[in-house]
Amino acid sequence: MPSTRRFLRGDVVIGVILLVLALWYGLEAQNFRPGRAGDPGAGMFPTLLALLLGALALWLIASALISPPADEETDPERRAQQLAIARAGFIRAAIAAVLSIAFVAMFETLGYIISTALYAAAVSLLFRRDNPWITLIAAAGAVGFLHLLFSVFLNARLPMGLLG
Amino acid sequence: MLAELPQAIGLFASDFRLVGFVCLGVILGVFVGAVPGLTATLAIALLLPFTFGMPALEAVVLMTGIFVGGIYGGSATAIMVRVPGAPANTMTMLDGYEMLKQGKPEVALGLATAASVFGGLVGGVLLILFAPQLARFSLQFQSPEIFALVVLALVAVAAVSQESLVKGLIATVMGLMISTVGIDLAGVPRYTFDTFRLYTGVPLIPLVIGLFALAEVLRRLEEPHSRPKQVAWISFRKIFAFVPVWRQVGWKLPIKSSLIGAVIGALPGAGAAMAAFLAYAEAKRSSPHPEKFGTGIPEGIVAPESSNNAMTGGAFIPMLAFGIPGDAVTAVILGALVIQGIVPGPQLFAQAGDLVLPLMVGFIFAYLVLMIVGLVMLPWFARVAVIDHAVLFPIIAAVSVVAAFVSERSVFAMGTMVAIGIGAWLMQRYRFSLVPVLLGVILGPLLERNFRRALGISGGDPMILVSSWIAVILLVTAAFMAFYFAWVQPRQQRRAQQEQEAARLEREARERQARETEGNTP
Amino acid sequence: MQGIRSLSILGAGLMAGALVMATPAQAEYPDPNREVRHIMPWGAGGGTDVVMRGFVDHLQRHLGTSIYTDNVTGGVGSVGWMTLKGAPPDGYTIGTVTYDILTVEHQNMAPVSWEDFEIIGMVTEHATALVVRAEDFETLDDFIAAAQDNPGGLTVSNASTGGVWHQHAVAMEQEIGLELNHVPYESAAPQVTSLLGGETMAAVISLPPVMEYVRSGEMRVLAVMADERVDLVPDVPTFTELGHDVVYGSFRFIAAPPETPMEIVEVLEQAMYDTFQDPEFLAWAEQGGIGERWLDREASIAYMETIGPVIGQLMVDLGLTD
Repeated sequence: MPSTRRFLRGDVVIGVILLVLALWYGLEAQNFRPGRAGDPGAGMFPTLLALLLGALALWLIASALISPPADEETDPERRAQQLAIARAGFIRAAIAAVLSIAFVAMFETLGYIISTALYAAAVSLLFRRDNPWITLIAAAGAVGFLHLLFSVFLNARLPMGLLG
Repeated sequence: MLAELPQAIGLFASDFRLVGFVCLGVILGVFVGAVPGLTATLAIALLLPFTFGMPALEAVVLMTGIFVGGIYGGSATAIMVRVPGAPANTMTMLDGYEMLKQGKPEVALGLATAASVFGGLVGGVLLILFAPQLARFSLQFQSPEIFALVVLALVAVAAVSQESLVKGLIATVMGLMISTVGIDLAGVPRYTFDTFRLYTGVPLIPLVIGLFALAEVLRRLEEPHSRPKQVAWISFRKIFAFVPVWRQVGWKLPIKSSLIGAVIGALPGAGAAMAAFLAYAEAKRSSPHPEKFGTGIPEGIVAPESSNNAMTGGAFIPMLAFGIPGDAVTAVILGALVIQGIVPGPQLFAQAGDLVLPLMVGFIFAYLVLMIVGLVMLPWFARVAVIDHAVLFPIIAAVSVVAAFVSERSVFAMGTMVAIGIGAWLMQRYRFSLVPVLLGVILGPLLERNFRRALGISGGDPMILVSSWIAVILLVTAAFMAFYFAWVQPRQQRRAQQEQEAARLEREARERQARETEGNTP
Repeated sequence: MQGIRSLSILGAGLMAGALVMATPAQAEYPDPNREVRHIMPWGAGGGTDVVMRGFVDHLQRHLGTSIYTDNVTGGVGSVGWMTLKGAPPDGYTIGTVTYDILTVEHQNMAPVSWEDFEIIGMVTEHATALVVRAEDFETLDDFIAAAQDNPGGLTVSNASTGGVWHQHAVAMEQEIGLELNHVPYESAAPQVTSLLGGETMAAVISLPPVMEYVRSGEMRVLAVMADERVDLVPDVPTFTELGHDVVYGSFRFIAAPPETPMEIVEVLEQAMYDTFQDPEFLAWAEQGGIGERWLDREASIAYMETIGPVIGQLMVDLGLTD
């Protein structure tokens, strides 16, 4: 069952990543200054966390390898369909993640009004593209709500950027 | 302390601002609770900067109102559109939505409202009666006992918030690891990569926003876009239709469920979802007709709703008595209390009696407000879920990014929020729960501090951690919970799932048969 | 060891300079609609927290806008001071700076120094005290005898390893010739709880956080590390009276982030000066025994320049530096 193997692989790969993380985290902890006057020191707690994470990662890998296969769609056609939907969804979310990073990068240069309008419109388009009114409402709604919440109520000055 | 009760009640009778803040909090809470993806935690985190300049009591009752309203608001969408506003409302959804399908949404909503208020009031009364007693007891809680209590909280959260215990524990450890970033308690910088901003640790508000707002938006984007379902309109004349049904259910079930909820709440870390789950399971176990649960019976709404609301009162007990927040919401409220100069612990009850008691009265008052808000405004609030996702979620995304900026007035905080949001989304994709991460971050310093201090006192001998009965009992409870959720519960769940699956197949077969017969007789 | 004593003399001389008035407030600062954030590097309910919260409560009336206190704790105060160092220098963030800013600097904990900040003025200078549960010890000699019977076994709490109370406890230990078990807490509040609950046998601490329990008879102050008796507890002897050369204290300033404009610093300084003329504040300060003491910006900087190397040397002598 290839699909089962896919799921298994997911947890096994995560387990390995976590092991590497635990190793780095634990090694880093060995460089911290030792404690004084009875204090076990700054490195002890992180070292224990690293050991714990390592053990949990091994547990995750082991349970992924021995657990019974999850109930998966057996019909190959429907499974291909499900996979396609999942992939499209992942791409939408990944684009939104990149957009969020771009929003942060442009926030001060463009100012909050322009960047927020662009960001909200773009995220809205990721949800649906069939109705430009919806996109417009999302963009206007985001800017209006932000302005009301932060500028009017919270009295927090937001960067104006190009409009400033 | 109880002698001052009339005075505290009088405070509410005479201060309109106070009453106003309770109402505002409840309405806001119900609103955010009803929007899937928004939570009371997030609302309180966003409002935190608002409250700095407010008098302590006003700030605290506002947040209590949001907490109370938030837990309840989620049940409306659970019933009306089969989307639980919070995990705590999942059990309500089972029978609530069935009841809606039977054409009785007003009964379902009315029962949910009444059960919430009843549970909340029981929780509030227990809070007033027991918190001062427990606070006195808290002097027994020295470093080893606090260490054990935090371990119990972390294990409980890891266990109940995820289907797989190991993933819950991994999420907890990740949170603990995040909490070690920055200068440690003895002044040693850790995991700062020599970045100035990281010396003070990962900022909490951007972290909360990233975990619960941005990650949710990204998760929603992964699902295929679906138009929100239409919501039935409820006429005002029917808002009391639940009363005869409630009478038929009786008082025993809500009382029992509330007690379960309050006890669960007092256990730090267990949370509302577990309270609802256990009360539902107990109602089903003790019912003469357990097979009817899930088909739209009133007991299936009353039990979880009274329990998860009684939990809120219970959850204040460890927060006020020990300064250990029981869940994400109380953790954020605790932060707000500290800003106001209120320090949990035995001294709180000795010195700030003029604050603690009004707080508790405000808590009970919030439930009375909820009764009215719930019945009058619920039909509208349920419609929040009808807002098109393509409008709702872009606004949530934009507000969360800008809120992160405002919280620290820095682009660094924004970047942290986005990085954590993306990380949280990826974790959630692989079925890691996010609540344990937050609890790990919040409780991490407490855990490390008491651990290191205990070892310092004993000269490095770890036996000090099990040197008192309280510590032993707490650690054994934690171990038992871990065992139960790693071993016993998955088996039970699998069996229950199989039964449900069989029942569903049978019902579908019956419906198909019924349709066919209908088709045959025009 | 001569440090604190000579400081008091120095301080008296500086008092004259303290009365120099700052120029009056002008222009927009402070906007009465904007709150000022007061960064408190120590835990809520502790000595510094209670005293400085109370001080800014009075200060806000004279400043003309409200001030809220934000506890940004950890790392012997350095987390709070790093936050203050990175805060926008617009007058809407101020912070409390205490003795341990020198600890952080001399022990290389975090890249922050008192010289980074725009010091506004001093608020308190207060003596360190040795406090126990009343039922455990009657006098300092009882305490010393118990510590000698059980070397390394008697637990004494402080508010962070390497920090001010730890330094003074170690100095006391070395001067008298004892061996104690030093237990660090986050602030005075948990120090008090742990003493009440019996996790520790004694606390090296400032007086305000323990006064409630001293008055109720649950706790006893064995001795104070001042050069003369403290008004708040006139019956308690000083260490010097009892034949031990242990004289230490601590201090608290208000400071603004680096590069805060001088006009704003002057407005804040004036508000602090006005607060110290306010009989309501003075009454509150006396009742709480906070050890209030006003030094203006210039005098405060001179104070720090004098005491900085003295405390640095103390840490070297105690073996608390790397």
